[in-house]
Amino acid sequence: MKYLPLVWAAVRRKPMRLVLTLLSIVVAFALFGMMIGFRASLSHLVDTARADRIYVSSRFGGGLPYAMVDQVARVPSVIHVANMGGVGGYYQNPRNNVGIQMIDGAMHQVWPELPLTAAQYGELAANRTGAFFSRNLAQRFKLKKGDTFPIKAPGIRRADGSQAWTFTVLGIVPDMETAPNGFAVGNLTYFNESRLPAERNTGGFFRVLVGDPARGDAIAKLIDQTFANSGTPTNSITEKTAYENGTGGGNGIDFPFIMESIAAAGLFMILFLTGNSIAQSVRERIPEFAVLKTIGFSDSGVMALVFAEAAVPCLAGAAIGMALATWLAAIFPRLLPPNVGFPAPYMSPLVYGIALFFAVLVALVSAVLPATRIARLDVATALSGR
Amino acid sequence: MDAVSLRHVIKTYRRGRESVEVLHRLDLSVPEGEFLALMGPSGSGKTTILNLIGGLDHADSGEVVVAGEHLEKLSGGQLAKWRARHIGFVFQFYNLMPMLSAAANVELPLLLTNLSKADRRRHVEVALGVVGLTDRAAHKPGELSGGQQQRVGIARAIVTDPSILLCDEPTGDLDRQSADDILHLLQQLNRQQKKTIIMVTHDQKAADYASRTLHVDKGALAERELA
Repeated sequence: MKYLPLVWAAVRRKPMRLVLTLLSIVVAFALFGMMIGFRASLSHLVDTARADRIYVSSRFGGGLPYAMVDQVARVPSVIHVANMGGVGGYYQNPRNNVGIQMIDGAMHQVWPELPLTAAQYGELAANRTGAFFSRNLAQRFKLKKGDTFPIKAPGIRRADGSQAWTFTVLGIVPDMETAPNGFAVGNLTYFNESRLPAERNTGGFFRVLVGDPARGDAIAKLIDQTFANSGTPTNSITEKTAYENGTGGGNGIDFPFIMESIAAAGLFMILFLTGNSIAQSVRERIPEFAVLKTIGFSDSGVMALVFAEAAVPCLAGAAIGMALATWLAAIFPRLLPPNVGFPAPYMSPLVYGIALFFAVLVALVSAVLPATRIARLDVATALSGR
Repeated sequence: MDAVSLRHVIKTYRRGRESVEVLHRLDLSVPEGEFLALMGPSGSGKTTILNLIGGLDHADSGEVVVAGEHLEKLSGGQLAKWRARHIGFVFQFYNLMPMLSAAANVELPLLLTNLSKADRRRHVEVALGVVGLTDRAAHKPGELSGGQQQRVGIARAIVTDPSILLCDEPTGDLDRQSADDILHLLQQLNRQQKKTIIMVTHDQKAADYASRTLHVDKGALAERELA
């Protein structure tokens, strides 16, 4: 602590340089924090995704016949099969995109993470046009229980020829971290019975619960094999595999790699910046370090001063940058376009720990050359001005 | 007893391919409590002698004993500790930290001790009192005149109460009046606090304040006159 005034005096010697360096570090660590937050978020999703839940969709698009629910339920090891559809459209204005997942009662067993109580499932089953909205979505459209919520869905043909789907808000439920923008669920029967008679009982998307998570992938394969020669072949995948594919190289986009690369680029940027800044600062003060060594500061003592001098902007910038990243992570769902389900950065204690580790590492690495130079300084030569 | 004893000291510098012997088997004894002035032309080896005595440079051969310690036997770290305990340095261009106040500059050598903050403050007040700058403790070097800055430099040199002060052209950057004030102060420190002072100077008037003057020429010493 007693050396703090000395370190602080060195740090604030060039205020403009300090401000610019600090700003750069803040921006770099905000970016770094967001990227490792995203990376942690994707890892968290994969970690929490279930291997005993299988998504079953039509291999060639268009959805599955509802009659297949019972057939899938007869596949060995399958415990529950839930069916769902979706009403996608907009509320009042085409910019207000919104989607409502239309579910059946089995979803309570298959998808227990959906924060609806048994009573709310009962309420949904009893109210054909009812829907539950999560808090974020309800806030976005200023909805409360009892409100009417009409959606215009041009993509779905209704039996009455209209494009309007009218829902009644049955209640507001908590949000899920997998849907940071919020979600809404309605009654599958309403969806099914409102469509053209020829299209009813088709277009299903199944969620299947199996007994043994270790056999999830095998059962998914078995389901596909079972329907391989049917009129509607299936495409089945466990939730865990889907998340792993979707976040770790699926769809041709390796999001974790991209995020790690951006974070690494940010780190290199601040490494060069602080390295250059501290080197310049030390170069300008060679005679001062020579005086410190003359009056008795040891080589390790002056090296420690240089490290501390580099650590102050690094740690301060990292702290401010991570605070900024935390704030950005909190408002991230509001920055996304509606219905984009990209998860918000997961700012876990580990993320802050990683940021602290790299802040210290950047300070050490950027100061190592100038500090070594000072430690090797020939005092007599430096004092003579040579 | 000698505060400083140099025996058969040889010091050579390399300049490119050429070796230049700056000190040729130099002998020097400085008794405790003496105020010695070292004079001589540029390049004669005055500052080299001062650096050897202060442990800032090593002799190629010979013996350097200062404050009872054989400096050639000490490692870099031991020399740093030894310097902090026994030697005070006063530089021509003051070499103060521009961002620190006068008091904080004077406090620097005390940071290496185990003194409490309150004790450090007390020592700083005493040192600034000795050089007559108590009322300028909070001023930064840029807010002080050259003479005042050198007084701060002297306060920094004496704040740990070292037995030996090494002064390299302490008045070289000052006007006559300020120079006389500084030299008078050094003389007081020598006479009242019994500090051994070795001062390198080009200025005969400055040397007149010393109790003995030695002339260095081509790496050898010659005693011209006694005060």
